[in-house]
Amino acid sequence: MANRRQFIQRGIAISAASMVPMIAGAGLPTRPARTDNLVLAKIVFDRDFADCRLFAQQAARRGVSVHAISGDVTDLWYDDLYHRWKDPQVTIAGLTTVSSLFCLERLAWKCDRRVIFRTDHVRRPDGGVDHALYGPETLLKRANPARYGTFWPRHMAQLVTSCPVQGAAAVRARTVVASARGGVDDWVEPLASWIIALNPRLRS
Amino acid sequence: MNPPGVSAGDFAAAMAAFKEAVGEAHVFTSDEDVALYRDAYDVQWGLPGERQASAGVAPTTVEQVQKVVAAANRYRIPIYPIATGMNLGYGGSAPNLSGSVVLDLKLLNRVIEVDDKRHFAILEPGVSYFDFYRHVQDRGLKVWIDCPDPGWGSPIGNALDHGVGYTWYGYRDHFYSHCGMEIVLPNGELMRTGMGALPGSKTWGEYHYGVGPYVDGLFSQGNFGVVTKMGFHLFPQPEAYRSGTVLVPRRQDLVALVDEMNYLEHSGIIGQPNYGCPLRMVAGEPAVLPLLAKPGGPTDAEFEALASAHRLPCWSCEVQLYGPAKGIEANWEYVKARLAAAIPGASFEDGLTYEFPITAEQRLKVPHKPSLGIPNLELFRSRSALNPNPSEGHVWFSPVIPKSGEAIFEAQRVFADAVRGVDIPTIFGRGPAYGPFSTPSTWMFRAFVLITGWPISRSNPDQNRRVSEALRKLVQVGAEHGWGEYRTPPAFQDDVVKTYSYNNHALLRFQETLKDAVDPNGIISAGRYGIWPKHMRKS
Repeated sequence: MANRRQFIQRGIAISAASMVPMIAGAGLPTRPARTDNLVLAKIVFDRDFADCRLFAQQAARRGVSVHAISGDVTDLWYDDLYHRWKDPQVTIAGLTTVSSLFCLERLAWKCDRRVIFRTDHVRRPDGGVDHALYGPETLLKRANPARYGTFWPRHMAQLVTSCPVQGAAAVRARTVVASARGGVDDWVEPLASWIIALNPRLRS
Repeated sequence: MNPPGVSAGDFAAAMAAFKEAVGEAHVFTSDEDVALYRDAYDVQWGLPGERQASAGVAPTTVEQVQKVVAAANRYRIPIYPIATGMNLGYGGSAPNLSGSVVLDLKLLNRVIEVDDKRHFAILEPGVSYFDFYRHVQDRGLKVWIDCPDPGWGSPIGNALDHGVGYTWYGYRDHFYSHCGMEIVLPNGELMRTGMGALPGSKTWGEYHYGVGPYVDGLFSQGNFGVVTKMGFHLFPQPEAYRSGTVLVPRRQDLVALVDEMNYLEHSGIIGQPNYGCPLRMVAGEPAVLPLLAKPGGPTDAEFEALASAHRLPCWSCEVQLYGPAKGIEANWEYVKARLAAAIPGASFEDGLTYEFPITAEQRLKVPHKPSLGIPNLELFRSRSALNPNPSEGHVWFSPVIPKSGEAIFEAQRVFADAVRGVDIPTIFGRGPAYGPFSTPSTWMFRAFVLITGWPISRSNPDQNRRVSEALRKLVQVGAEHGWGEYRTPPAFQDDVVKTYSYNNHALLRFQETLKDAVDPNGIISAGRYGIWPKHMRKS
């Protein structure tokens, strides 16, 4: 009998398959992550929210393994990341609730890792979304979720799957305000896009 | 940020000494690294009063801890030991004294010994509940750990802060279940307590006291040394578990319900009883709010009319039993018969049953995993029916009250009156923080805690200020009624300690006398639970 993890993994495969036509219709270029970028071991997304699923679809199209959670990161940590993070090269990214990221950030801390990029996505009362970005300057230069309207999750997936290794330690913060009314309004708690990687201080 | 009173030259020299002791990779000074030691739930978040570290240092051996402490003493650097830094709601990993260097023990993470025949373990502080659980599971050991909820912290860190868990009574109080310590004293010397003080001792993790005065308590919620090992008594893996729920129809039935549960728990028949008020689910309804706002609370008749209107019992209590399958079935029958005789109209619902070991599939479906000693992080799963708008953090108010129905009624009324008009939502999302539906937490097996969580906002300092004012008022009101807190965030530790004032603060004065003798330079955890070094003490 399948356990819950196996069940979720099957669910991801089915979801990813069903998303392909929609993404193909968007006409976005598909290309694997470049080798001079951080190599992502997996993308984590919260399957309860449409924006997170959209993010995962785009990441999957870019050849990154995706992993669904439903708020709770316990199994992801206990069965997977605990083992993976013994390898200092393992980097992950995701779009989850800020609560899930909070847990992962604290767990990563013990494994010499840090959140090197994050964007908080906060829903405004008018239905738009504010995006507050923090991360490497090289990545922030390319970040402009406002331009993508309700498709900002796809833009964030492209960003996190193309984070250059060089310059990952140079961080600064800025805020982009998006006017993305519409989309699926199924989240209240802020979401966050993020990359967790080896502490840049230890990279050398 | 340098530590207060420390010159830039001495601070730099101390950092160099720390790097020599633990290696450059384990001394953290960049803003990004030091920011990780901020208390994510600090009521002063982002304000000048926020407690912040100046640096972090993470030794990997006890010898390195000794070198760090010796260097801190040499340069008068305040240090703040943490285990895994997960004490959220009670201070997290931030020091009481801003500018302290966090002595981060996360890399001191060896499971020294687990014995599943004599049922004890000896751990280092960086071992988390997840690590401990994994160690036991991977080896198929026939013992349970007892973990808090969430379970990502450290058994040693939690025990030293008087933290608690959810299984059988002796194991839920984590300091109570500890047995022996190894401590780096402020002068860098290594000391062991209990049987650990006997070289070659065969019973360090089994017999608490050794011989002579028992000093372990000084190192809990204290600042007399850095604990680098601790023993713990462990719960033998039971054969089976069963839960069941008792429901009682009238408001005053709570008195008999608590009395009966006390008898059952103190006799070792049941594990943790979990009290509930089914009416809590309707606390946010507009028709109920006037009743909650009424000074002194509702009358019994009003309370019971509300319960009747919603077809709900007034109180519930989940009972948990651990032991041989036949034994706990017999005990559940006994519980039902005893409660039925004591409380007319009591009804009963059978709950879950497990026989151990459970499968991985069963483990994933356990609704409250800590009751079976399984660590998890499900609490962080944002929205729920009881918590529709999660806050960005919280601080706990944790008054200890007597284990009686009468005490619950009195504390409900007193605390509800104290916070009436305080316009702050609870972290549980429905109704006011205190009211006639409040029920106690039962982690301690000889006292109740009528705990409430108060929301913290990263963007609303005014709300945080009002939370601080409310908590300070509750501390005072509680003390006036003989209820003190068992644990509190650093922002309130001086306030709470001041309420333990018997005979002109004799206890605090005794602790300060010890502090001055043991740590004359005041380098360890300055200000923790009200104990400040002599040179920082207010008259």
